[in-house]
Amino acid sequence: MYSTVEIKRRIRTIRQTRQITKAMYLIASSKLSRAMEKYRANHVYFEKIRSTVKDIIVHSPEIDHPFFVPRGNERASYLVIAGNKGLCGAYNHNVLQTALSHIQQHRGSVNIFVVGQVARDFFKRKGYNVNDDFLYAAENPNFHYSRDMAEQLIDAYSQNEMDELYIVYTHMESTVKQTPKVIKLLPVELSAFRDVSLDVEYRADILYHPSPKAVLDLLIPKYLLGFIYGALIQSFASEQQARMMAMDTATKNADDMIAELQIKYNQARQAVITNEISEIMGGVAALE
Amino acid sequence: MASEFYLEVITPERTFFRGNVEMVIVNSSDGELGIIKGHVPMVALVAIGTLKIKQNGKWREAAINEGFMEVRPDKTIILSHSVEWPEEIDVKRAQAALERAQERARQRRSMKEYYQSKAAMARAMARLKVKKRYNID
Repeated sequence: MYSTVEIKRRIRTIRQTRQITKAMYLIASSKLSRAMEKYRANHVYFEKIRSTVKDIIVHSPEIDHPFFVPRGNERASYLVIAGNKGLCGAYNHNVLQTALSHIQQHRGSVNIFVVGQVARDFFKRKGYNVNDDFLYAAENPNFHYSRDMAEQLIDAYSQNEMDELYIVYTHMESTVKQTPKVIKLLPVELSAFRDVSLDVEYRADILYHPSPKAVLDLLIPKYLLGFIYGALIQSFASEQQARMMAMDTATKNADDMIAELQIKYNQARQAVITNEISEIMGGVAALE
Repeated sequence: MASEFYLEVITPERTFFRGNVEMVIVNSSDGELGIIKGHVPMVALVAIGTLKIKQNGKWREAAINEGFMEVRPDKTIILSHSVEWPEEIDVKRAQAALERAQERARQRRSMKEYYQSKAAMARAMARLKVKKRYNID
């Protein structure tokens, strides 16, 4: 049995921790509502640009364009999107493990572009070649960051610095379900669109205006930019969602612990009083 | 009564327009391109400029950024980074952007920057043009 002073001290420390988790819960939930607003606004574009690109691939018999021609799979680049901070449940762990297991299956050189400090530290520790130019994009994803990222990645691809480009991010399926995903961005392949359904089936070749090359030169960078922006937004929203849930659980656990300790404290206090009374009674009895 | 088709105009930040229209005109790389119902499936570039939509016999105009248009049998989709109705355009901001871009173009640093400032100039001018025309009407 602990003494009352010790129990009181423990209750106080748990209360302080609870204040922190409660505050983090509130911060995460306000960030989440902002992130969800962005997500909802972006969701339509994200889905639409993917189904449009798929539609184009399906209806174009053969595409002879640098973004479509496979180059082998010797040098792979990964864009891995995780968080800047921990304390968000399994969010970072899930996305990083997904990335790692995919990377480990790859034979040949690997270059990793990381978003978020947790991702950088994780891959540095594992001894990978890490490029942290995009580290800043984890907080507050916006269109400018995405544009810089897309431009740099496309430049690197065009200058033949990589054979393949993958993106690893957390896909927001619903507010309660987020799953990490690996998608091949370059070269553009039909297999990357397996989860995209076409709105309408028709059999006809598409006309390109003014020319297939001119259209694809613009379309693919826009597709990458749209994808990266969407992936940043969804990852950020998933992170806030995960943190909110983790902090909510932590706060509840703290409440439970405080309640339990409070009972223990009351028992200990009562034991002390009982003890004192019996001592006094003993003293009185001895006097008589 | 002209026949209608379904048009969607979408940007990464919002759904700009969605509904049945009679005709839509965009700037493509080689001039204006008009779409009416029954157009053959096509993917076209959309250049910075004016987007014109005819709905219920009335034309509306918006300033549009670079993007592309997909014409499908069931509907037409326009995807662009930004599209704005005249009432959403901030003249002062567009004017400032135009001057900034002109200044940058004068400095002639690199080819890439030159193209960027040219694109910024075109965007600002497209916004100002739409805004001006709307105010006269």
